[in-house]
Amino acid sequence: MDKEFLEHGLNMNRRKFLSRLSLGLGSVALGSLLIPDLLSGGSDAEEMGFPPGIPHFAPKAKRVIYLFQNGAPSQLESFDYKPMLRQMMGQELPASVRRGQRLTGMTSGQSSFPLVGSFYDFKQYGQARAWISDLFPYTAKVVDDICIIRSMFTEAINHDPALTFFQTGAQQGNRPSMGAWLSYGLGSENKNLPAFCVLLSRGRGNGQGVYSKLWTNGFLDSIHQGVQFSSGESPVLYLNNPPGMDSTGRRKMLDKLAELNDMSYKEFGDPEISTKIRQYEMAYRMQTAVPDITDLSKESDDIIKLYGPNCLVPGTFASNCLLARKLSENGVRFVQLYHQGWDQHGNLPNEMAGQARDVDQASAALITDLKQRGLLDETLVIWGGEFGRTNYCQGKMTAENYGRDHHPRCFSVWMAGGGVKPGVVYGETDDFGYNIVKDPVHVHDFQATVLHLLGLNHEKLVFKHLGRRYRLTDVAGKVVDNLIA
Amino acid sequence: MLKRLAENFLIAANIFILFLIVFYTQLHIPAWLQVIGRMHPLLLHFPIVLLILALVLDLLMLRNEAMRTYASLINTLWLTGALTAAITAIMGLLLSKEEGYSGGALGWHKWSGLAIVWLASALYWYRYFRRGVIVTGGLVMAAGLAVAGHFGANLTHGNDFLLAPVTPQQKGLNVPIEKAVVFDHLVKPILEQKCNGCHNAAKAKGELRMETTEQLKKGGKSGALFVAGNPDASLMLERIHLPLEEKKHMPPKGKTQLDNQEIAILRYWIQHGADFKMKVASLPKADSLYRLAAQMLKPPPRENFTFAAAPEATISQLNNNYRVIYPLSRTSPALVANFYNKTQYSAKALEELLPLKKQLVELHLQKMPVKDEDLAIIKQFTNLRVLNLDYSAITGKTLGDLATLPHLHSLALSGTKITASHLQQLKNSKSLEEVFCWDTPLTQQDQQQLSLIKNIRFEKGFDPAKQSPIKLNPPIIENDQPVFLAKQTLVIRHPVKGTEIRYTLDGSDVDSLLSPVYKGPVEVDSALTVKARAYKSGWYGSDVTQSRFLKTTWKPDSAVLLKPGNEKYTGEGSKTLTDRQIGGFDFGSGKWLGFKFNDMELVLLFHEPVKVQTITLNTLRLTKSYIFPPARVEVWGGRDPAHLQLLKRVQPSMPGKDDPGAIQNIDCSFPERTVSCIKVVAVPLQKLPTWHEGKGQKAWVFVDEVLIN
Repeated sequence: MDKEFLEHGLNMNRRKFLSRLSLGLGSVALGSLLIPDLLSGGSDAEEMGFPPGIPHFAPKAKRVIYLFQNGAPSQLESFDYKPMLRQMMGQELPASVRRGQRLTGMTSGQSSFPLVGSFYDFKQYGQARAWISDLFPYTAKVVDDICIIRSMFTEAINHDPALTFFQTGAQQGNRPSMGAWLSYGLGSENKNLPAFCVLLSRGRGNGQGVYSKLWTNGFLDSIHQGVQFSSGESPVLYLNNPPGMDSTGRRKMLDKLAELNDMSYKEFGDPEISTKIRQYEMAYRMQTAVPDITDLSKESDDIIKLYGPNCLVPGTFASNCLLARKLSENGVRFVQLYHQGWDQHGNLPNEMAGQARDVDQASAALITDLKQRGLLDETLVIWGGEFGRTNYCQGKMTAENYGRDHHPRCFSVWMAGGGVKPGVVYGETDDFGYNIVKDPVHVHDFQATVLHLLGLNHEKLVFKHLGRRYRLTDVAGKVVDNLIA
Repeated sequence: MLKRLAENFLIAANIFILFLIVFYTQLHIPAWLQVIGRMHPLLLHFPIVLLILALVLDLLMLRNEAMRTYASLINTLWLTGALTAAITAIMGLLLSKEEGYSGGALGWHKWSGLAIVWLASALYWYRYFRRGVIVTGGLVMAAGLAVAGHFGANLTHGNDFLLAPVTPQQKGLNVPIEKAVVFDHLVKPILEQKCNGCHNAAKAKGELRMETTEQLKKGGKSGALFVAGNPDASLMLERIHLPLEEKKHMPPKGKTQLDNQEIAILRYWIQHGADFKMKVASLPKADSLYRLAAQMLKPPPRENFTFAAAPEATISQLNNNYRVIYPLSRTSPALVANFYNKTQYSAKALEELLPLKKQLVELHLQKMPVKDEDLAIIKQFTNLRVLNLDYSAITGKTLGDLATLPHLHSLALSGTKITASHLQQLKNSKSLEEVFCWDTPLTQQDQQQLSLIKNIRFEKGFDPAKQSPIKLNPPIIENDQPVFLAKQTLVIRHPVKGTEIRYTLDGSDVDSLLSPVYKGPVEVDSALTVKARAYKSGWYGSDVTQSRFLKTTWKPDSAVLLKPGNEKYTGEGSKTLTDRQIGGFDFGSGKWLGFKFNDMELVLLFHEPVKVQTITLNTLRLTKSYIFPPARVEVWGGRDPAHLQLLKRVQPSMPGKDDPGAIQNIDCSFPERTVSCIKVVAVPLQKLPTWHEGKGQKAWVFVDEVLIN
C-alpha cells in the first residue's frame, strides 16, 4: 500500500500540474490586489512612509545641544571611578582583561602596560550616589539633573574615524551628520535661523582637529548643512550689509536674484537652485535675528556668574555654551559645540585639569540655565567625547604624571533634559575600567536613542541615495529604553 | 472530489503565501481583511491538534499493521491539518501588518509557522517516500509547532507570560507610575526578597516578622523598626548600615545584600513618614523618591489627545516666518505654536490663533511683549499644557486667568515682574505642576510662602548668593604687536562690566591696593613688561595677565640679508627680522631665522640719516636643540655700505649645562652715531661645549627681530 501512496504523490503529469497551479495563479492575482502601486512603481515618499519635517511620534525633546569633547576625555579621571587601578598602580594589565584588544600605533610598541589609577579623587553625589572626580565640581552639583552613561563603546580607535562615526554613523565620512539628519527629519523651528549651528572652541590641552565634514549635509539637501559660527566679533561672516547698501536695496536685489534663479530652476530643474533661493531668503532674515542673539553684552551679572566670566570672551567654551543656549532658545534644532584639547597621551593630570576648568562650570551652567527658563524638558544636552582612554599608562609613568592612549571598549558620556531620566547612572565597567560588564551602549544605540527622544524612528528616517536607503544608524542601533523618562 | 478540491486549495494557498512573503513590505491591508487577519488566534488551534493527531496516528501505523484500516482517515487529517495551517499562516501574515507587531518574537513566530505549513504540505504528499521522512519530518514539524506556539503566545500575552508565576517579582516593574503605591510597589518587594526569608511566621528571627503592615509597625525584640520621618534614628537602617562583619548587620553576611537603590528607597520612604498608603503620584516630580520610582516603574502613558485635528488649510494659513505652528507629531491633532521676533508680535497675532484654540497644547511666547490683558486671549486656549512667558511684559496682575486653564501643567514666568501675591492666584489650578520664576522680584520670604503651595513646584533657578565667589578672568591687553615703533598706546580691557583693572609697567607684581588703576589708554615710549589684574566686589581678583613689549625707534627703509638663513628656517628673509613680530619657543614656526653654516649678515638702509645708539638682537636659546647665543655679534655703521665702521662687538655669555631655554635680548650699545646704513653680523658658535651631547659640532643661531634704537 505504501507504494500506492507514493505513486499517488509522484504521479503528476503536465495537465494535472497546470490545472492544480491554476488556482495558485488565481491566488497571486488575488494577492496583487493588496499592493496598491504594484504596477505604478513605488514612490520614494511612500517608501519613506512620512513627509520629512514632522516627528513620527510625540517627541520628548525638541532640540539638542551637543557639547562634544573632542579628543576623548578620560573616563577614569571623570565619571568612571576605579579604585582598583590605584591599588594595582604599576602592575601589568592582565591579558585576560585585554582579551586581544587592538592598540593604536602609539602604544602597540610599548613592552609593558602598567595600570595607572586616577590622580584625582572621586566623591559621591546626588540621589544616585554617582561617583564624580574632583575635576568636575560644578557638574557634580547638577548630578541630579543628568544621566551618566558609563558603558558607551565604539568601533573606531583613532580620532577622525571615531568622531566621524559618532557624528555621521559611519567612519568614512561624507554621510550626513546627526544635526543634518535632524534638520531633515524635523525641519527648522525658527525659519529665521539655520536649523543646525556649529560652534568651536579650543582648550590648552593636546588637541585634535575638527573638519567641516563633521557637520556636512552629505547627500541631503544642502539646506541641512551645519552653519559654523566664527569666534570673532561677528560670529556669522558677511551678514551685515556692506557700506552703501540699505535693507530696501538688499530686498530689491534679492527679489530680482530670486526671479533669475527661478528662471534657471525652471530650465534645469536642479533642486539645489531652489535651495539657494531659500538660503538667500534665510540669510536676509538672519540679518535681524542673529545680531540680537550673538550680542552677549546685555547678559546680566547673574548669568556671567553662572557661566563664569569667560562667557564674555568670544571663542571660549563658556561663551559658546551661552551662545548655544540663546540659539537653542530661539529654535535652532541642533547646536553642535566642539571643544578641542582632550587628547591626553601624556601629561594627563595637568592637561586634564585645565580642560576640565574650561568646560565644567559652563556645562553645568547650561543645564541650570535651561532649567530655570523651563526649557530643559524640551532640550536634550549631551556631553562626551568620541572614545575612552586606556587604564594603562602610555609613555613614562611617575607618581604625578602619566598618559593614557585611546580606548574604544568603554567610556562615559552624560545626557540631560529632553526626556532623559535625570539623576541616573547607567551601565557599568569592570574593576579595571577596561570592559563593559552591564548595559553596553553602542554608538548606533546612542544615535537611535537621541532620534527617538526627538520623536523620530531611526529605522524610518531614511534617505534614498545612489539606489540605496541610508540611515544615521546604518543597519544597526537599538533605542535604549532605560534611559528614557 | 472534495479531496481533489482541498488539495488544489493547499497548493494555491502555498503559492499565495509565497507571494505574500515576497511582496511583504509593499502590502496594504484594507480594513475588511484585517478582520480576517484577526481571526488568526482562533484558527491556529486547528492545525496544532490536527497535525499532531495525524502524526501520532501515522507513527503508530508504522509499528502496528492493524492501524492500516485508518489510512484514509489519517490522510484526511494530514490534508485538513496542512490546509488549516496554510490558512492560519495567511491570516497571520495579514495580522502582522497591523500596528504594534514587530521585533524578534514576531520573526521567530512567523518563520516557524511558515516552516510548519511547508513541512505539513510536503509531508502530506511525500511522507511515505521513505520510512525516515515521516519520523524526522514529523518530529521537526512538532518542534516547529512548539516554537511557533510559544512565540505566538508571547506576542499575545507578553514576553514573560509563561514563566511569570515562577520568576521572582521584578520590584513591581510593570506597575504604571501613576497607579503605584510607594509601600506596595517599591518597599514591599525589597522586604519580600531580602528580609522575609528569615523574618516570617516560621522563623521570626529576633522575634521580628515583616510580612504584614501590623508586624512592620510593631517591630521585634530590639524595638520598633523605624521612626517615621527620621531615617537616621531608625533601627532598620542602622542595621543595614552596620559594617558587613558586624553580627547585627542585616541582611547577615552571606545573604544577598541590599543595593544602593534599595537602601535609598527604604530611607526616603521612612523620611516621608513611612506611610503605607502614600501614592507615588502624590510626590513632587523633583522628589528623590519620585525619581527613584520613575526609574523602576513603568512610565506614565503618553497623553492621547482626543480632540479633532484642525483643518490643514487653517494651520498653513496662520503659519509664517515669525509665528510657527506645527503638529506635535505626524499622527497627533495637537499643535505647538512658537513666536519669534518681538517686533512682529501683537495681541492680534495671538488672537488670530483662536481658530486653533482646541488644538494648541503648547504656546511659546518667550521674549515677546505679551501684556497683562493678552492673558485673556490665552485663557481661551483650553487645551494648553505648556505656556512659556519668560521675559514677556506681563506684570502678573492677571495671572489668575491662567489658573482656569484645566490642563496647563508647565508655566514659565522667568524674567518677568511677577510677585508672590500674583503667584498666589495660581494656587487654585488643579493641573499646574511647575512654575519657573527665576530672575523675578521674588524675595526669600516670598519663596518660603510659596513653598506652602504643595501641588506646584516653583523653580527659582540659580541664586548667585548661594554660590561662593568665583575668580574673575584676567583682563585683556589689546595691543597684540610685541614690538612697537617709537611709542604706543596701551589699551587694557575687561569683558565684565564694572571691573577695576590695576596694572604695573615695570614688571613688578600688581598690588590690589597700591598699583595704579587703569583709567584709559596709556602712552608708553620704552620697552616694558605690563602686568594687570582685575577686581570687582563679589568676585575674587583675577590672575595676572602680562605682556612684554619691545621698542624699535627706527624703521629701516630697506633691509637686505646678505646670506639667507638655513633652508629649513628661512622665514621671510630680512622681512622677518624687521616685521615687529616675535616668535615663541617653536623655532620651526616660520617666525625665526636659523643660521648654522654661515653668519647672519643683515644690512639696514635709511633714506634719511638716523641717530642710533643701541642695536638689539632678539635670539633664542635652547641648548637641547643645539640652539646657542651667537659667539660674536658685530654692528657696523656708516653713511653707505661702502663706508662702514665697526661700532660695537659683543661676545654674549654662553649658557651652562642646566640653563633652561630662554628668549634673550642681546644689546649692542655704543656712543650715539648718525648713520644711513647699519650692518649687523651674528656668528654662530663653531664648537659646542664639552658638556653638550653634540660637543665639537657647530651650534645654531636663531634670530627673529633686530631692534634699532
